Amino acid sequence: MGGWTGKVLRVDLSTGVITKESTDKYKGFLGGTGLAYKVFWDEVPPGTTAFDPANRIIFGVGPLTGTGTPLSGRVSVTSLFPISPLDLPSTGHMGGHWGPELKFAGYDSLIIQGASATPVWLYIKDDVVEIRDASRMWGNGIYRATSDIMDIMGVDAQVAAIGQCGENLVRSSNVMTGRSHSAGGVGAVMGSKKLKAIGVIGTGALKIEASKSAWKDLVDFQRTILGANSGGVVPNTLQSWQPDGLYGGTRWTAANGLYWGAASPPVHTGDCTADDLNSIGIRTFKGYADFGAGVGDKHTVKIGGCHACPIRCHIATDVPALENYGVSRFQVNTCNGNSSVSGFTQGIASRSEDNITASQLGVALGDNYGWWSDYGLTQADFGFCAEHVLTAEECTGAGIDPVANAGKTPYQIRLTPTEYARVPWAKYNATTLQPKLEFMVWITTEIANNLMADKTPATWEKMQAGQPATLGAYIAVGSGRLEQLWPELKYAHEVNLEGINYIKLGHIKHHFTESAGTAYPAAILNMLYNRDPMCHTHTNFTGNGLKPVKNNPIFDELFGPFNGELAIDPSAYAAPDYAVPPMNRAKAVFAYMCVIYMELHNSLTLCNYTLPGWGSPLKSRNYRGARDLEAQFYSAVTGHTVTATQIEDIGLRILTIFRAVTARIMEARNPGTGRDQRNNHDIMPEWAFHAHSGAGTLDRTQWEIAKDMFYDQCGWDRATGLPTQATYDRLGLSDVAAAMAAAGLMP
Amino acid sequence: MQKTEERAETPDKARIVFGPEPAEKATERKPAEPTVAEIKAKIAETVRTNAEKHSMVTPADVVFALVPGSRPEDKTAILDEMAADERYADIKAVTTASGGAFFFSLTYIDPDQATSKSRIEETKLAIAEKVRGDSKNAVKLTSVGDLHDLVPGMEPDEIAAVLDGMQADPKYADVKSVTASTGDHFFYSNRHMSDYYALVLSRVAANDPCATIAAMVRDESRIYPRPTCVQVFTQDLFHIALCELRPIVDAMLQKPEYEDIKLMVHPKTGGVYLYSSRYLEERIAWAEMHYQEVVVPANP
Repeated sequence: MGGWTGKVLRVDLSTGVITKESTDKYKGFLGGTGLAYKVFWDEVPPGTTAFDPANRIIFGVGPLTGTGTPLSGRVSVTSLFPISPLDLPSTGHMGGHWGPELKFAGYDSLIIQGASATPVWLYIKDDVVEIRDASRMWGNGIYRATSDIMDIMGVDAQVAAIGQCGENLVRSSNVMTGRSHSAGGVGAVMGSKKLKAIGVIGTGALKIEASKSAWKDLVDFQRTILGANSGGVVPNTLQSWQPDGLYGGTRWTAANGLYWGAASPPVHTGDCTADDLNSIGIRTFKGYADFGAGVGDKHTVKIGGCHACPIRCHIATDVPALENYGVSRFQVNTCNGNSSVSGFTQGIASRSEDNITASQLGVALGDNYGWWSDYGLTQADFGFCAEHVLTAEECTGAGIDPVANAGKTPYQIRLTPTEYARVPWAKYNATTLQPKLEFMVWITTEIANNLMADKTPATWEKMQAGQPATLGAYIAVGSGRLEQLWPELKYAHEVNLEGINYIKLGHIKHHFTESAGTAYPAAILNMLYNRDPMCHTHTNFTGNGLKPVKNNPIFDELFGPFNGELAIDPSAYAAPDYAVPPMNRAKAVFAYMCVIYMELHNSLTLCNYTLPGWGSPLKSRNYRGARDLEAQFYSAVTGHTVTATQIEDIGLRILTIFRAVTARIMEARNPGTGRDQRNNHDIMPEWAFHAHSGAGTLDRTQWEIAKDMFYDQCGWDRATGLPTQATYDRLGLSDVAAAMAAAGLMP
Repeated sequence: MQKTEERAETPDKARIVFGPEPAEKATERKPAEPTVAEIKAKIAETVRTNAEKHSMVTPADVVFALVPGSRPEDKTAILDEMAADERYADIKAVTTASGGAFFFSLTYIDPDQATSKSRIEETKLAIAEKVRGDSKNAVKLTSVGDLHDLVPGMEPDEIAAVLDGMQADPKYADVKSVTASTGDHFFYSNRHMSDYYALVLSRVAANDPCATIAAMVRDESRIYPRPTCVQVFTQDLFHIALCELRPIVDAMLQKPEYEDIKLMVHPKTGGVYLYSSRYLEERIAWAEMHYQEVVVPANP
């Protein structure tokens, strides 16, 4: 079959044994997250923790990765997640060129297990795979490690590396490749295995079963569907060429008169009409969109991206002021990566010169240390603990003594007086930029060092035992664990003080009930995973610029009929109650298809930051995309012809084994919890049922109906949220069903 | 530098191996090109049909398009041969003062008529070219005055007659007209400019920015529905300077004819939005504003 190389590479860092195994047993799970979930089901004993050598870290690519399928440069990095208080499995997602290079080297994925006694890095050049000494790299940042490996392997090497955060077991840390592509949450797993980096060079070729002409036809077809990053299919500004005068609300931000101003010479973005295939890569002017007019356009050198992706979304900037701080003036990142570290500043006006300076200095720090913000949860917690003065009522609500604690911030309560005094609060509270940046550098370094107050390496066990830690270590341990130590933080999470937006099990919301018109589907997506769900299928479709009046008919045609029920609510949720229209079958199907296609994207691999292709920028297509885009590419590449419905079943198989893995681990941790996923895992925070600005307010009765309807779509039991025997059997997972039954985990 | 040169000399390694072409695809042949005789017959048929059915002369570019290949000498050679062939004795050419060439059939149109018609056809072509160019390249409407400048020797009523003729001609179906509130007529090509964009430009041309803003706000409140951020009106097409925007909006809000237009200021961001209470509830308008101002930026 095309697409796959036929081999999965396995490296045991405890024994030094390197094996190459057949991919066959994983093909039913495609690759990426699907392959990884299968590995966890087969190999990792329930009860294993993130830092145990038995934990795996799987760099998962799929049959489409490296084939040139547009949007196929992604890698899913799956492991037991250090930030998860229950050490449940999750995935970080990175783009760039590393994944395709692994395929060219001949591997359908990389499974790493065990732990080295000393720092090592992994050398992969086609068939030659070696575990090499990384002693000299250890202690350095990602930039230096990457440079060192490229000195050894050559400039064609693709390198994925961790920084000091990963080394020092900062639970919110990442692995990075290609300067700006990071997989969040897994850096400390590599650190626990003493694995500094993985360098890859592949010189092989991949097979596409389709003929060259058929492939060209398919890629051309896809180009009639692709819009911009985040699914936008109409321009953000009113432009003369758009046939119906549609505009607004998208990242199709190129326009006449807008330039990549720091390019030499400046590059005019222009109108980028829907039929001009040569300007697809310019449509998404994310520098302008994220940093604002007069700032983002001024400092943008270019918009970069991943292997084989015509939609470019990484902003390369030139900010000369950075040289004042000892880092390169040239940086690159996108979205949340541009605000992770600078989130430790406060009071800087958005879309200002100060903002881009702070942002890009933060990029230089965070991407070198390898720090991950847990999609902003860390800064939200930090802001609360640093600034929120607890009232007596809040203290009582949290179960702490109001007499002793009211009138103080959580940090004033929890840090030792010495530690509190050590924090340069004057810089944090300063009104000018320079001290704010100095605070940002200070705190990022503190996090990376991850030390107890006695300067020994911080661990969760020491904190649990009551040993005082530094502020950096309290941040590094992650929100889900820290709330176990600090009741006021748990209380803040429950009632959403200061808008922290904590959901459950150590993770924040991600495109939750604030998502336009999709409150219930978005809530379902946010209940399913063990970190923020990283799902963009729903927001990419509803945010494509066509608005519900056009998107509802499109969804109805592709996945209905729904007999007049709307999958997408017609307008934003409004004050005073932010009420959400009731749940219905169309919304359940919408939630189901959003999660199924996300799993397919993460397994094939394709980019869920731009897909699905359910809409189109072309009026000649009546703005209609296709349901079977993923099925068509999978069929063309592998030669295994599937329909949309058939590949959706593969997506359900992937989701279902993930469900089984999660339930089994929860049951091992806390007996009785795994067998009731509905009430122990698929939970909503209390604040989601109360009006909160700008987001839809869930109704308790409707929420229970939503879960019922979603489980029905999945073929899962309504009472427990667990897959049924019939579903396991239908999906070819009878062996999983037998094991679940033996563990008392069948409904 | 040396490294770069070395890499440049190394051919790219094939990364992808494709499957074989299907047998029918591999043996697929292009359709045979028409013979010279067939081309001549097609030219004659086209010219005669236009003359008989539509009483039209046929522009040279339409005739040339029937001759495969791009070499001009091939095209003129075929026409020269036709001129000497008695089977095509009725096919004649007429050249206008500006050098435009048209073909007609003597069977259906006499030479004087052909001369007159060719002038009209040439004018249609010039108007279409001007309108399409304005819409595509200058992104502007074409005024009646622009057309008079284009054909200075032609009387206004003659131009009007030509424009009427264009409305009925499928070749010019993309050339549309729009009338501003002042009564002025403008033209655009909807091949290059949307009807809505042309409508907005016609509003701008009326030089009443209050009316322009109110009309667009009503459109957006009715169609999407959504409130409109006033920043939209700083786009070049509105010809409103940033410093003039707020006074214009304030003036508009004072006029009774715009009493349905309401203004909102987001308390956190200071973003200023307008909506029409005729089409949009205040609470929905506010929610949509909050979504754009706060929710979207906070959820990258």
